[in-house]
Amino acid sequence: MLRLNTHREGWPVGLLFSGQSQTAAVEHAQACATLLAIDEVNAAGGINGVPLVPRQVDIGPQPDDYRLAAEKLCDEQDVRVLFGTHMSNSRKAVLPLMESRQALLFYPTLYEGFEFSQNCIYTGAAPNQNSVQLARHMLREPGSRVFFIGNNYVFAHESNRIMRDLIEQGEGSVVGEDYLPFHAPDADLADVMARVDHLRPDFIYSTVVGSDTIRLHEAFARTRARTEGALITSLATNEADLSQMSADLSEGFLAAAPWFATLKNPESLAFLQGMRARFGPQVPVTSGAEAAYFQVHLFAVAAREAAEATLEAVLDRLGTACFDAPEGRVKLDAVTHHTWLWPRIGRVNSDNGFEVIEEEKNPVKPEPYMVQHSFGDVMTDNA
Amino acid sequence: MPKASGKPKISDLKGTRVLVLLPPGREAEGLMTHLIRIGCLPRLYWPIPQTLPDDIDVIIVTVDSDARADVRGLIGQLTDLSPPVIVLVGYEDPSTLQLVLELRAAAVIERPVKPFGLLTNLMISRDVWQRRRRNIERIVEAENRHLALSTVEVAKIILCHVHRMEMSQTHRYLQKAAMDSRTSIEKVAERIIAENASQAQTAKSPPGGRD
Repeated sequence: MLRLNTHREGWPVGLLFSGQSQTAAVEHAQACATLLAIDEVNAAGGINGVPLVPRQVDIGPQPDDYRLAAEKLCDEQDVRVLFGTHMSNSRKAVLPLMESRQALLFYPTLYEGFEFSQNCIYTGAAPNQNSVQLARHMLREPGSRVFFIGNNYVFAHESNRIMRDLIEQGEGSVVGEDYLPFHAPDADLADVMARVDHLRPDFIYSTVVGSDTIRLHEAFARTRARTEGALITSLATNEADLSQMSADLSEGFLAAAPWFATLKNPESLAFLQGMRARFGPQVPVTSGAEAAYFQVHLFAVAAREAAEATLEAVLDRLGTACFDAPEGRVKLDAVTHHTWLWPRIGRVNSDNGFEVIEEEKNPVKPEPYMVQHSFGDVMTDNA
Repeated sequence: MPKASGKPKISDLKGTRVLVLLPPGREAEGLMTHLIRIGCLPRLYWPIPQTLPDDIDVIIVTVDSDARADVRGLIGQLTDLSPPVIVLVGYEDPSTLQLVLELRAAAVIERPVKPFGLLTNLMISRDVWQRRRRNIERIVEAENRHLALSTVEVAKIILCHVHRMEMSQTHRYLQKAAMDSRTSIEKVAERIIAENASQAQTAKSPPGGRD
């Protein structure tokens, strides 16, 4: 029996979001959403009368800083349930510790797939829950020409492999593939844009993340390609990035994600209102924050139903737990530990907000080990 | 290096010269210390060099870094006779695995590297590579042998047809010619084929040849 260290006076849970990383802005939004959900769970009586107690420590920018923080939370603060990490390298750094402490990590960010840990629950999109939809959209016009720009890290390489495969299946073409280091000098960005202007793609598919995203949009705004209608598309650019740009830079941009801040259903409106009431109107609310929010609730649903506060019992109940999330009803796939999600395509309008222009009618099953993606086989839940 | 017929021996690992291609840091330090602990002679290089050093028995390299372009350069340098490659991986996505395949990895070790398992993988990769190398040598030897035999066969046919010799006499003829000129039967056969080819060439040149 692997105890998740609950006590009568409270159940300590850890947050693993860095305020200093490349992706600090969206991690801040995820931390806020986690705290909001913890408040809501506690207001509803906690876990059968026991409140969740959030524990946080300062986390530096490097993957190893997340590991050190997780170690502190587990060993000094008695935590066995954690929410967070953002880029794959931070999750990878933390997972061996989760396994050695028999803790449970909830990971709320889209990533490249090909992972399973008994000690991890994945609530962000797997590639089959966003890439297929975005590629399909880019290929609406026959013969689309796409240029890949990414930061040089694992998500970019794998996501580009999948996108290339899909675009070539759809008889589009990939006309360029460039990788930039994080915080690349302006001259490097200018070089890439010169190539863009030379090759004239219809779309730029970007796997650039965090603060470099704004610089990418600034550099792109000055190109002839943009004036002639080329667009940037991405899975990793969100409301936190938009909040640092004006509509001049962002209008027309296309993203695929399970949730956008402009969704108008009751759960979505309540979530946004809760975020603004607790953290102020300025806090950017992203798809990653929405996953951070619903994963706390999914945990609470499972923990309340579990016969005892052990890893085995909670995992067992997570297999059947579901929750009416802002994006729609979500549930876990017990075999892969990934989540059924609602893929959508959003386009930035002249108010610098995402307008949802396409959505799946049913949640899509996660397929984290899918090597060859195709357009026909997105499996939805018709039940 | 064990003999082709010999059983692989665990003691062969001592003094193995290991080239470690990993960014310096806690993980590289741990790996180097453990390689020394098990009796190897490790060297740490980063970034991945454009040209591999010659005096290396095993290469250990990471593929999941921002150095994919350098890994591609390393793949370009590898030949059938390059030392075995052990790949360190932190991710199992297809774009990473593609690099593992192209490096023709003899073994794969999960990152972050733990001491346990390193010794086993080093031994297995050395053993796999030694078998692979012996197989390559045997194939080359067999191909050469086959080539020599067919050369001799062709020479015999020429002797029969052009020199009107009986097939049963050709072998003795080649043997004697080899002894007289202090060379091998294969060399004599090659000479006969070459002479025949040049004669055929001259014979073809004038219009309306002998035939």
